[in-house]
Amino acid sequence: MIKKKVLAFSFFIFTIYLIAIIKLFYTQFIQKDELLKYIEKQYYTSENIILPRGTIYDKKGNILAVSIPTITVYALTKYIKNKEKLAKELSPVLKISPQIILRKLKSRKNYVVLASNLDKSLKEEIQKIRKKTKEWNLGIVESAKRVYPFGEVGANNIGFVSRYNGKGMEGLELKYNSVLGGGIGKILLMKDAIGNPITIISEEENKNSKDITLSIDSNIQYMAEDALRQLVKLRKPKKAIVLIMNPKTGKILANAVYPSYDPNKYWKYKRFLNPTFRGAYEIGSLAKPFVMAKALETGKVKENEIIYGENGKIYVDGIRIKDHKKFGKLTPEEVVIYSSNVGIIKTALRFKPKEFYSIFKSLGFGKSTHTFPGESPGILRESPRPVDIAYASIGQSWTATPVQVAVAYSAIANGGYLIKPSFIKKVGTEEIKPQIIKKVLSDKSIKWLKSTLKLVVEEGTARKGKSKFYTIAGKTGTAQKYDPKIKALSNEKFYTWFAGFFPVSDPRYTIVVFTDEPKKIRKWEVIGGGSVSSTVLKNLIDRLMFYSKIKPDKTVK
Amino acid sequence: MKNILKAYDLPILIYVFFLISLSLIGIYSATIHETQNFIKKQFAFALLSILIILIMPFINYKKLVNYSIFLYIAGVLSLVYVKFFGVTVLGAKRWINLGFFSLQPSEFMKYITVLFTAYILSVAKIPITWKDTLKILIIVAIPFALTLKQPDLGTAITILIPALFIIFLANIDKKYIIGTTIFIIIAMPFIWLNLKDYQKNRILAFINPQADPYGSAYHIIQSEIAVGSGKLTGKGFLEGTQSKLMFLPEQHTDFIFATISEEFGFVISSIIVLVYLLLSIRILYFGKKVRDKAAKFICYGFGGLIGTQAFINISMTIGFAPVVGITLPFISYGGSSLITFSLMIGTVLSIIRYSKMEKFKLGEA
Repeated sequence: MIKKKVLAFSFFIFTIYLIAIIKLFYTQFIQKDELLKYIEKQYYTSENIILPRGTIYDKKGNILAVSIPTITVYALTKYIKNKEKLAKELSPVLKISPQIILRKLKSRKNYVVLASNLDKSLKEEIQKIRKKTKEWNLGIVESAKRVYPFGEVGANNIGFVSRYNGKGMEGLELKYNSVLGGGIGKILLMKDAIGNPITIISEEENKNSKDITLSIDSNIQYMAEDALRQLVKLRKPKKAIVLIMNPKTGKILANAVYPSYDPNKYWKYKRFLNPTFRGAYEIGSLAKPFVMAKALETGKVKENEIIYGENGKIYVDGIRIKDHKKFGKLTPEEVVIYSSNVGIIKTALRFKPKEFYSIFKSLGFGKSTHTFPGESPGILRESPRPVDIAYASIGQSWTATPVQVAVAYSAIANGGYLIKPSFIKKVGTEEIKPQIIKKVLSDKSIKWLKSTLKLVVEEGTARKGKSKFYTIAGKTGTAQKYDPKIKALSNEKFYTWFAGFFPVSDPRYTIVVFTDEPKKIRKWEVIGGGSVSSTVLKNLIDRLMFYSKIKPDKTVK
Repeated sequence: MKNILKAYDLPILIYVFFLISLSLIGIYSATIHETQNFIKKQFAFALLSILIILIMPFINYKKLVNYSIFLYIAGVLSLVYVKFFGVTVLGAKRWINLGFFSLQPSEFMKYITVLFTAYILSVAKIPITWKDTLKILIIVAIPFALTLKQPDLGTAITILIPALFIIFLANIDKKYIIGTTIFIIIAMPFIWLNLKDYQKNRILAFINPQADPYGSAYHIIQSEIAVGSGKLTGKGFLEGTQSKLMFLPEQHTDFIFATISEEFGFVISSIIVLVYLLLSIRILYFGKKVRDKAAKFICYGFGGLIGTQAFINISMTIGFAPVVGITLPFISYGGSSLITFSLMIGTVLSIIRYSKMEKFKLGEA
């Protein structure tokens, strides 16, 4: 009887062991993939770090944007033995209250970042704490932070890098993302066996990051911003820019923008403007010189012809277009110098529509220059209606970006060549050569334009801005803004322009000054490109020329 | 030399020495990153255990059985001592601090209770009467209750198990078995209500591990991962990531089987299972074979205990049973456990030797 029971009992043990072996087999052969997947999930934790990216230099080698190494302090919470003590030790180093650190350490997450973007110099102190408290699951990951030493100076051009993903979000940082590199790198963390339980298994490297040298000269940029600041103080416009370009190469030396922002704290700002590239505005009288030059070149207007100013008004297609003065007889030069609407409309109407619009198109209007991210092409519609041609000739009804204006006026300065604007001097060590697209103005036109535009500054609408030492050629422009309230062109709100170059004998700089809705200083003042821009010209040009060590080309009286 | 070897049952020796050697390898691997020197300690205990196993066959088990009443009293007293002066580790009072060694009386109680039970049965009638059954139950209940209160459910159960086997194999009337089973089923909800929260959680975690993978089911999941990731031949000695990266809890004590399985794979782990099976069946086999009643029941008790305890431990590491704090015989870290099981083996070897000698004498006569 007992023997039978012992047998039954032995059989029972045998059976349960068999089941155990089957289960063992099941776990180690059938379930293994599922379990291995689980392992990967729990051993490795991949964390994002911000990779350093290329440095941005200005023309003179000053650093405009640089990635500085920082450290991120993290902890694998589950393995922190004495959380209270660690929080207390870390608090003075991280400059975070111990309560906050403790809360993070006690969170249910496996991996917590205790502090990020710390200065690398703290690394040693944190490692000391790690040794002292024997909390091996406190770790440090090296990361990078983008710093803009010049702050707001040139910020609108340089843009900034996202503090979360390390990629350029604005400006040239955005445009040259692929060159500068950076972005997010992944690090794979794993706990190690002995002593040092945390190892970085792999870290994504920055493969193709190159430095960029801009054509921006920080000194000139600073001067331009200084001049712009005075303009803004005086006129309180909504937006304003001062753009300085090398007319021969198209390299942008300075682009001052109002309103600006501090890229080091970009998250405190809502808008990141750069109207130089992104804003398309009506250019007003800036269009006029090109129309007249073409008319003279093609013989539609004779050099000695006298154009009648019609006492300040003209009817085109039954629509009355007024002049700002009741002009009488005008020479072609005077039409431009005094900026007569009637004079230029009468000239424009002598062109066939296609020929007329090609004046602007050949100068690059209506097409983006692809210099800056989000750049506007402007709007240039070729309407054959005489009234549209009339408006187009005085720079209304079509729009252009300030950089397009700079390109067009540079063509006058550089011997008639259309150039591609650029911010870049060097990518890595490779020099970026200026791009000259084609000759767009005849030598005859250039000669006429130069001498006429010089007179605009010396005697005409821009005379308030003329320099005692240097000859300046340029043109002022004022365009009425469309006012949605009255559904018509406003008599209160304007865009004002000045576009020109200097010194006239051998142009070194093209300048464009643009404001959006400048305020009147005096009640009876008529807003005009000349009066608004003169501050900038006065404050900037002499300073810039002395900085460039160029001898005055005017005989000082 | 041959005569000395004859004193032992070779298969049992081989099984046990195999398990003890694996234990040292496993504990070395599981504690390599610890500051405390576990392996040295365990190595000393292993030597002591081997000594016990080799010497005990020359001590007549009958003397032990006869003196078991004193052992029993000493054991119960030491459990009472623990209750008041014991060392508390992780909330449980289980140990007596001897300076160089923390003694766990409840482990030794497994051994002593079986001896004492065998002593009672050696003079009892078979099938046993309900009076003897009650005696045995009382004998078991005292150390069981004292251990349970430490609290140490695992060891308490292992004190109870051999007694149950013995009662069962002592041919108790079927109606008692049926009655007890019905009683347990009825009592189940009350037992549940009396369980500690962590015990309830362990059972729930066993039923559905995914409900709380980082909490109560953490042990089960990590252990299963360790075993499963060992695959056929394992990750290699000292290469186990589950144990080395500290994901596996209690890796040198209760979950040592997972540590070994991870590093040596299915081949070794199934051999271990097989060895336990062979060992316990062989002891039960001798239980069947010997004539002396006390010897019989000692074998049933020890064979059954080794078989079930190993089974429960392995089952919980492969997610087959809820987590109970039960050591893996001969392999888990811990001097008390190893010495207790070695005493059992030594006693079994003594039974084999002396019963052979008696047979020989009988044959002579």
